Amino acid sequence: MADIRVENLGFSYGDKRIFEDIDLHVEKKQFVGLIGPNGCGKSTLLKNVYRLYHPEMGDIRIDGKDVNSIKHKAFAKKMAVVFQEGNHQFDFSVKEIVTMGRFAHKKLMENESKNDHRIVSGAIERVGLSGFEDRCFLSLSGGEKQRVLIARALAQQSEIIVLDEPTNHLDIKYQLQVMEIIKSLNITTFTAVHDFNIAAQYCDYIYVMKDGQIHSAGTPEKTLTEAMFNEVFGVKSLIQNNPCTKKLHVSFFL
Amino acid sequence: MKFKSEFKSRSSFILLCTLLLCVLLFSLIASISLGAVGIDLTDVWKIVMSKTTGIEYTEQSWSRATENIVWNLRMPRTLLGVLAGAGFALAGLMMQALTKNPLANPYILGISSGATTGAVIVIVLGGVQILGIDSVSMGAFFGALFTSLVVFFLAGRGGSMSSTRLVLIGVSISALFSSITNFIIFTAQDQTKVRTALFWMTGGLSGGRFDKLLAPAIGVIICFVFIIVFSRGLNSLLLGEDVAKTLGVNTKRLKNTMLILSSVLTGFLVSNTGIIGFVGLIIPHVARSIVGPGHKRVAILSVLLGPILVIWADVFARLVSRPEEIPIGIITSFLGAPFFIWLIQKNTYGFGGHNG
Repeated sequence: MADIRVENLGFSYGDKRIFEDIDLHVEKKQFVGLIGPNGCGKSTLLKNVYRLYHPEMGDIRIDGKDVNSIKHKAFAKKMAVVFQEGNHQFDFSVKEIVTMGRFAHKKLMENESKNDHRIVSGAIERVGLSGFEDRCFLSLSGGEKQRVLIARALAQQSEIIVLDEPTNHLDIKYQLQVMEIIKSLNITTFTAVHDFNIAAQYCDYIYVMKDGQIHSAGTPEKTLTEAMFNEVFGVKSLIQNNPCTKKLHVSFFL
Repeated sequence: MKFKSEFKSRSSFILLCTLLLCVLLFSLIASISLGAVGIDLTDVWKIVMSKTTGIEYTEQSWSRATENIVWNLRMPRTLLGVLAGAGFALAGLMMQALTKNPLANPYILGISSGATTGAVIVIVLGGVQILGIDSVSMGAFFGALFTSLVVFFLAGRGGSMSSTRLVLIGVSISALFSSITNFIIFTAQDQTKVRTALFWMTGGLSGGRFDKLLAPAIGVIICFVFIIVFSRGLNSLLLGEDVAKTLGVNTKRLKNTMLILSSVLTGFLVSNTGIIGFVGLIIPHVARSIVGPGHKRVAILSVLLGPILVIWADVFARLVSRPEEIPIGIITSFLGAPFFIWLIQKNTYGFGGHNG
């Protein structure tokens, strides 16, 4: 298992500084959430972590290794990413898309083995899409598509999974299901979370971002406070205990 | 609810390919026998067999003139058709993966207009033979290569080369070179040169000679092998460059290689055939509508379908107003456009796949 360590990270878009001096640590097998209002830089931060953007200063290390020094396939074996994918117009079947998750494990001309097929079917089953293997990806609903992408990340069998707003389009049942699936993988997880109750329920540790800086960090109990919601999100809140989940429950008002 | 097409299973795909291979072989022989001078199919077969395998037929039912037409004129012409069909289709396939745009074709990066400008400049200035290669072809080849490199350079400036940027710059450069070409043609004094230029712009296989086939053949083979070997990476590239990156694909290297390969291939082809429209756009789509978007199968199908289309288009071009020959590009566009519209209209086919 691998850990992620971000030190002194800074990134700008042209002249616009998105964030700077970011330090954070995702420990092995920890489930870490990143929350913050729109535009605070959390998605950009994640994109630095999964290498779509190149950091301007500071560094990001996985197991002590600078992420940008790792080869493409080796990196994909370390880290799988689920993010909002732009609409593409080329249609693949569900099985074909999930099989693409095996790319990093295959040599150039190597065919998929029985083992690959087993992993792919297992991943599809795990997100509750058994029977959808031959369906066309473009014909699926938003939630089903999202689950296919999660299945693909599972098929990647990486040591870390990074989720960039993974459950935005999902019905509440599937939001919870996806979180349960990822939690049950018991691997290092770093995820942007929109819903604070979900964050409270699943995260071991939470980083709160505001205006390109880490505002606060800690366990859900420590970070999800009325003071924080007021300062960072500008709303009043009521924080209670959910007797069913034994976790925090947050409700908001102005 | 839509499922994938019927040709999903391996055996039915192999059957389809075998069938198409037979059609292609038949088209080859038929194309050699048809023309201003009709030649018996069996004679064509015997001449080709004796030339390729060295079998001597004791009773030769054909004249030397016939043999000359079959082997030295129509055979290389037909083979050039095969290479053009396969090559334009593969170049189109690569361009579509590169730009993630189903409408991309070998000409999207201004390659056609660059080639045309190069060729037309040479035609109007007066062509000469340099080292046995005629200078019009050279002009076209370097025109094609030059424009694609310019587009590549401009699109890559200031950070990452996005597909949209690539297409937009390609379209602009294309317009620029078209206007240069038109200017040259309109101001040209010599009417025969104008006619030559116009003929070149609509393409044709009449330049096919054995000694000119090597470069396009090597280009087609390299591109085909490249697509087959890197099919997995290309498939994930269709989902978006970001996605491909996170799956472990070295997208930068893959895209650069593909850009260079498809530009050089198009340059080789265009310098021999002129602009043959629509093949590079339509063939990958037809292939996808049959076997889905996976690159391995689409590439295999494309190198079978492309040649069939071009060979028959050339047969029409030779026969429609014989003994005059009309440019093949007119035929491919005339047949290709309605077929493509029909393909899009079919409700089972959205760009590159099946809509729900």
